[in-house]
Amino acid sequence: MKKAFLALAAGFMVLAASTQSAFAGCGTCDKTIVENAVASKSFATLVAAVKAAGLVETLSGDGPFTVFAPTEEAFAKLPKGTVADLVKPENKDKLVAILTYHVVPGKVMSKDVVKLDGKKAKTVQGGQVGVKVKDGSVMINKAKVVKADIACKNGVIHVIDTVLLPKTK
Amino acid sequence: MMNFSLRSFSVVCWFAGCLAISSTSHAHSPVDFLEVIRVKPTQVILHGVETKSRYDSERQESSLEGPGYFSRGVGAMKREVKSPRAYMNWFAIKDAKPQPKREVEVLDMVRGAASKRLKIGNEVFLISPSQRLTSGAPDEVPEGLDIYKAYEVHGGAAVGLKLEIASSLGSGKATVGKPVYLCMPTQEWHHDETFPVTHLKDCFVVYEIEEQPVTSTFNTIDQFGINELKASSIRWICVRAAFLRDLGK
Repeated sequence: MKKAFLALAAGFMVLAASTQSAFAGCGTCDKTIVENAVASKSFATLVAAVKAAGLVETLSGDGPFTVFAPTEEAFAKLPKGTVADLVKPENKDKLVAILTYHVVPGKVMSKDVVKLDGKKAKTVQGGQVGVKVKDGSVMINKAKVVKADIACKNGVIHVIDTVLLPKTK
Repeated sequence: MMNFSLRSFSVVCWFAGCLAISSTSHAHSPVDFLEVIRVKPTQVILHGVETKSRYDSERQESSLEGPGYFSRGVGAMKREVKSPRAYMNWFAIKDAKPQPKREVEVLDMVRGAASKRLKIGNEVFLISPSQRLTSGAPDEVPEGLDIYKAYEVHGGAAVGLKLEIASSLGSGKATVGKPVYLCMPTQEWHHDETFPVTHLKDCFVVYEIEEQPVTSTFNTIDQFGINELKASSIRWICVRAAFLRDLGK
């Protein structure tokens, strides 16, 4: 009985070691989308918005999710005062709609994103984003993907240079 | 007369070698020649993967940095560009385990059957297929193009063969110098993906050529995502080859 337990324990240790090893050196793979966003200075506004929208728990869940994450520069392109307005409690629904418009269910790596050229992808918000590969760049609506394939424990982040705004109903 | 005979013999050997490569052992390679270009990426990738080539006893971690080089299919020796979509990104392997020097036999297109031996040492690069991003969905990676590890070659003699290179980004002329790397197919594990070796005996020998400055910027997509690469010079030429056997350490 003791031998069987030891063998089982050793088996688990080998499995754990091999799983860990497969992700070694990745840097982001063992963290969730939220943890990786928090760790990067490029997403301070995005993280604040996710917190204000109450989406931290969702985006820390199993997923997997594909997040098109706007940079600080992307938020800076919005009209002055937009972000400050959006994070107000009374605008929470609007903020949730905008943020979930940046999330696509499933883990869609860039090699699969580019196959969607000319097509649309359905977002968690319910609307669709258009994918276009043009002049060597990958565009999501009018946003350019500036960094792709930041692999996370529960999905992947693609960094974009413009905030995506869903059509208002 | 003697000179003529020797020359004739070497031509026959070279021709026989090319014929052997063409007809049997290398029917699957989607590319005969690749020019290797020094590049500077907009985003330097620092990433760990696991790899196993025929010279690794088990899966091992490889810390990668790059891409520092990019290669693209070209034509040479009266052969058209076999697959213009054959692109590879070259990543330096950091902290690689030292390898013993090994002697191997490899049949390649420029040295032919007359000279098959190479002495190889440490692994230097991991070479990963990539796709050029232009407009529209990119072309698929040609079948038969695997992931390779480039092992440094020790003491290879310069070939001296003059090549006219079709579809080169440079002048289209090159003289083949010393063999500098042998690229061997390598299995790779990256996150939850496994990249198998499809053809164990397909390999490439990388030769020095005169460095030629070029100016070009392009975007590629590989297993690490999208990257903009600024090309600065053509550095080497990669020649398809068939691995024959290990001769020992």
